[in-house]
Amino acid sequence: MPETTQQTTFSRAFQIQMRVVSALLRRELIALSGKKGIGFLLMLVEPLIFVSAICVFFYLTRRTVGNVPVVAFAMSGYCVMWGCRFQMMKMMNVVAANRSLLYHRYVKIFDLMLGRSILQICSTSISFLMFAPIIYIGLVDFPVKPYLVVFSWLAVLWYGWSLGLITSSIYGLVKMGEKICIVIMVLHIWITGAFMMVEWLPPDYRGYYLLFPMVHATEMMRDGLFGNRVTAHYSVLYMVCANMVLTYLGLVLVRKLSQRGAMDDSD
Amino acid sequence: MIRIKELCKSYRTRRGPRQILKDITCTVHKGEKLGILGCNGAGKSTLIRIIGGIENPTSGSVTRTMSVSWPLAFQGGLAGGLSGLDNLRFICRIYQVDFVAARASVEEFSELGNYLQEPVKSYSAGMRARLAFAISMTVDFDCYLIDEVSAVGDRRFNEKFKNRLLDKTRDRSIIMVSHFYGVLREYCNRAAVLDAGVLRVYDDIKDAIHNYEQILYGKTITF
Amino acid sequence: MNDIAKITKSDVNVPLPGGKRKKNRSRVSPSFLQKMIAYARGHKLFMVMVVVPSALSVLYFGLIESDIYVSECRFVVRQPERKNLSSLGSLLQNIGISSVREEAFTVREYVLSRDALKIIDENLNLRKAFGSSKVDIINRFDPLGIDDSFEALYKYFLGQVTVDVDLTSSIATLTAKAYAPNDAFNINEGLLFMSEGLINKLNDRARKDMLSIALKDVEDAEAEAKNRAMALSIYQDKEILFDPAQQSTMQLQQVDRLQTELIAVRGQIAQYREFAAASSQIRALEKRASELRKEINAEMAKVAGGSESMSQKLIEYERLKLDREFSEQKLAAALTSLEQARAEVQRQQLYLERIVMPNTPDSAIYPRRFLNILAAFGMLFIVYGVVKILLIGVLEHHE
Repeated sequence: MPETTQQTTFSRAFQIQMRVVSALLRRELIALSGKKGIGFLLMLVEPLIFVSAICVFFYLTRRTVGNVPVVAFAMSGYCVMWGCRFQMMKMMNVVAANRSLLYHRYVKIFDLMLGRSILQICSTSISFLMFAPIIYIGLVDFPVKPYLVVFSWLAVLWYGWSLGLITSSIYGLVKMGEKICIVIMVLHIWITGAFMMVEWLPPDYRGYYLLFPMVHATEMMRDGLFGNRVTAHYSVLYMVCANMVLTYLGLVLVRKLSQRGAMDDSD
Repeated sequence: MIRIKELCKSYRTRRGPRQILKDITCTVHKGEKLGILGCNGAGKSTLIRIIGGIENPTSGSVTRTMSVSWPLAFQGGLAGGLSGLDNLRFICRIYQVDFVAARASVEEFSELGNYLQEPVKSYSAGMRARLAFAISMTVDFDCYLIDEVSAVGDRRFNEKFKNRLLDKTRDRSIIMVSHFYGVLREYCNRAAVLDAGVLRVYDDIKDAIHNYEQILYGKTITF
Repeated sequence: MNDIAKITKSDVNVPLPGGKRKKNRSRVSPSFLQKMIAYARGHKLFMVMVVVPSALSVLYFGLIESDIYVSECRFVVRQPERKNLSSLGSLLQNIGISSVREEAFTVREYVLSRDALKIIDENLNLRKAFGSSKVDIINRFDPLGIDDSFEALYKYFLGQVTVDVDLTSSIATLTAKAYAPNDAFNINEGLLFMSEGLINKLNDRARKDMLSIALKDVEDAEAEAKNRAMALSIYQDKEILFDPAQQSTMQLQQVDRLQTELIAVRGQIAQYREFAAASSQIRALEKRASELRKEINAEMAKVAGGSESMSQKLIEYERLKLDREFSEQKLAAALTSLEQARAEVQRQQLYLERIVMPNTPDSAIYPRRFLNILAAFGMLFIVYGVVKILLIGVLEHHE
C-alpha cells in the first residue's frame, strides 16, 4: 500500500512496473527453457501439436460439417478453446510458484500474472498462426473476413486473461480453489462453443447458450472464416461488455488476493 | 528514514481475526541500526515484511524516505527453480543494477563457485543465505532488513558478512531480527522488544535484552 | 499519505468515490456549486470516465434518441401435402396441410435481400424515411451525407428488418423498425406482400417446370402416333391392301379352286385318252390344264415368295401396325403422366398464410430508454473500476 512520502509519479511507477514485468517475462522464459531454450520451444509446440493432431484426425476422416470443411471447423473451435483455457491453466498456480519473488517490493501479484499471461498469449497465438500453413496448403480457404478472425482472437485472449485472473486469484484465495478452478476449466470445454454452432440449436435455447461470452467469439471467428457458408449468431457489444465485467471481477479478486498478502501461508 | 505509524496487523484465523501487531509507532533514522527481539510467533517477521512493503498493514502506515531492501530471510527473494546466476540476473533487472559487475561481486563474496549455475533449490540453507546476502550487497539500499539469517552462515562467512555489511552500512540503516544477543550487540546500536504485539524501543541494547529475558522467563507464553 | 490509502481502499472495494475528503476541509459554508467543483477536482478520473459519459448517455438515451416504432406480422408457408417427411415430422404433421419450414427460410432470405430492398425503396423512399433530420443523428441513415449508396442502405436496412422462423411451429415473424408508425407499417406490409408474390412466383415456376415436361411428352407422343397411323394407311393405300391376312386367304381359296378344276381337267384328259384317243378335245383340255397350272403358280407366287408376294407385304404391314400400336400406348402413358403432374402441382402448391397482419404501432416500444441508461451506467462503472484498479496497480510500484 502507499507508504512512501516520495510521491512516485505515475510514469515512474509505470516504468518500474514494465521493468518488473519484462524481468518476470525473461525469468519465466529462463525457467521454461532451462538452459538451451528447448522449454520455450516446447511451450510453443504444446498447443501446436494438439491442434495439428486434431487436424490430422479430422482430415483423415474427411468429413464436412454442414458445408464447412471439418478441419477448419475443428481448428477454429479448438483454437478458441485453448486460447482461453491455456491461459487459465497456466495462470492458476503462478502465484504459488513465484511466491518467493514477492519478497521484492516491486514485484506485485498482478505483475506475476501479467508476465505469465503475456507468455501464454504469445504461445497460443503462435499456435493459432497454424492456420496460415493450413490455408497455404489449401485445406482451409482464406478467411472471408480476416479482420473478424483477428478481432475474435483478441476477444478470446482478453476473455482468457480475465478468466486467468479470476482462477488464479480463486486458487490463492479459497481453500477449495484448485477444485473450483478445475471445474471452471472443464466447463470451458463446453461453453466455448468449440464443438457446435448456435445455429444448430433450437432458437428457444440459443439465447441461453449465447449468455456465454466465448460463444460469441467462436461464432464471430467462424463468421470471419467461413462468411456466408455458416449462419453465425453473435453480438460484439455483449462480448465486450461481458469481457469487461469479467476483467473487473478478475482485477477485484487479484486486489483482494494482494491485499490479503499471498505470503500468509508461506510460514 | 522509516516512520511506522499506528501500525496494526491482524490475520484471519479459524477462530476469527488474531491481532499480531498492535498500534506500533516507531521511527528508524538513516544510519540507525535497530535490532528487534521477540519470542517465537511474536510477529517479528511480519513486522519486517510490512516494513519491507511486501505485506500490507491492516491499518496504519509505513513511510519510507530511504530505499529499503527486501527482507533477507531463510526463504524468499530467490526463485528455487532458477540458478543462482539467473536469480541474480532477475534481481539486477528489477533493481537496475549492472549485471556484470554484480556477478563478479557475488562470485567473489558468496564463494559459491560453480554452484552459482545450479538451481537454488539444491542449495543448503547456508549457501542460500550466502547467495541472498551476496546479491543484496550488490544493490545499494539505504536500509537492510535482515531476518535471522546471520545465524546460518559459518563463522568465516559471518565475519566476512559482518565486515562487508558494517563497511557498507556505516551511514546506512539495518533493521535486524535475531535471537542472538551477540549478533545484536555487534550490529545494532538500538534494540526493541516485540511482545504481545507491542514494540518497545530501548536506546540501550542491554535494557532491551534485560527486558526480553524478563518476558521470556517471567511469564508463560501464550500464542 | 493517509488520504491516498483511504482513497485507494475505498476505490478498490467499490468503484464509488469516497468523497469524505473534501467534506472535512470545507470552510465557511461553501455553496453547493463550489462543493461540486471541489469534488470534481478531487476525482478527475471518475468525472471523466463515469460522470460525464453518464450525463451524456442520459442526455442521449433520455432526450435525443428518436422513438422507434415496430410493426410486426406473422405468417406461415403452407403446402397441402408433402412427401419425404421425416418420421418425426410425419408424426407431427400427418394432417393434410403442413407448414414448410424451408420455404419460410426462402422467404426470409428474400425479405432480407437486395432485391426486396430495391422494390421497397422504389415504393417507399427509404432514404427519406431513415435519413430524415427528425431521426437522431446516431440512428439516422447516412447522418453525415457521405455515403448514401445502395449498399449502405442495404446494411442499414438489415438492422431495421428481422425475420425469425420458429423451428417447431415454422411460424415466421417479420418485424420492421422505423421512426414513424406508418413507415414501419408500410415496410412490413410491403415486404409481406412481396413475400406472397415470391411464393406465387415459386408456384408458377414449379408448375411450369413440372408440367412443361409432361406436356412436351404428350405432344411428342401425339405426333408420333399420328405419324405411325399415317404411315400405315399410306402403305395400305399404296399396296392396295385392306387386310392382308384375309386377302391372302382369299387368294389361297382361289388357288384351291383352280387346283380342283385342274384335277377335274386332268381327269377328263385321262378319260379322253382312254376312250377317244384321237379326240380333238384332248388338245383343248390340255391347253386348259396348262392354263390352270400357270394360273395356280401365279396365284401361289402372289401369296408367298417373291418380292411382290402377299407374305412379304404382310411383314411390312405387321411392322407398321405394331409401330402404330406402340405410339398409341405411348400417347396414353404421356397423357396419364400429364394428369399426374397436374395433380402433383396442385398438391405442392405453396400458400403464404398470414397469421397476424402487420400492425400500425401507436406507440414506440424502442428505445428502452431507462434500461439503456442503466446499462450505460453499469458499464461505465465497470470500465472505471477496471481502469482505476489497473492504475492503482501501477502506482503500487513506488520507489
